[in-house]
Amino acid sequence: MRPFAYAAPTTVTGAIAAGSAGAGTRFLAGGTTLYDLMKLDVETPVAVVDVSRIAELAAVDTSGDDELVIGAGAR
Amino acid sequence: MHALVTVNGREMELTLEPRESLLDVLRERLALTGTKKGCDHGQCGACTVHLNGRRVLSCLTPAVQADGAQVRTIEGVAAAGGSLHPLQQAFIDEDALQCGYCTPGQIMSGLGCIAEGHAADDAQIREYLSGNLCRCGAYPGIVAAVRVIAATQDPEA
Repeated sequence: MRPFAYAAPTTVTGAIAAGSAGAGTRFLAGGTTLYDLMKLDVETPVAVVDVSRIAELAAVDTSGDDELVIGAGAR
Repeated sequence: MHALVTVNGREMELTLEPRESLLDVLRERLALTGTKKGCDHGQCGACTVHLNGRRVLSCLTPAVQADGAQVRTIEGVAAAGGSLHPLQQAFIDEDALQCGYCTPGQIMSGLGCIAEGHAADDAQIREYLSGNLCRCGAYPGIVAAVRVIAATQDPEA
């Protein structure tokens, strides 16, 4: 695997800023696809932004009367 | 990157390179070789460990994602005195292994399956262990071992 810079922001704003840093930046959540393809040199990002530590994405909100909100990072 | 990882209850300070998988760090740097490398592509389940209580494939988990987390491997399953965990004993009793290479992953996955409450019957056990391959085909014994321990309702005993 090629070397890459790693960042793990804890806010959406921070992730967007880190993800906009330049070409060759990829977001990493579970890693099932990206990390595996990096092992195979199919994906060769220069920077990886780990979004797994963003609490505001991790929630499942069932408080609404007629809507269910599942955060993009909910597990 | 500096990281603090608790492995089987022991806090470890590690300097991690972002490319390192949790599997490689466990095996090559911490000498915890109970966790097996089968395919290294997330297809076989041999590398299953628990990360903050949730089962993960350590081959597809960058070690840096374990910073600040609790990792439990097969080495952390038996009691401190070395006596086997009931699920480990059940694997022996139910003839749930032949070569044994997949067994650490099967046991970590079995513990997860039971703790998640997904071991109600054989069909459900098979579904929730479907990420763990056994090329010896010891599946009937594996399902039986998990079924027996799930029935005791005390997976952490």
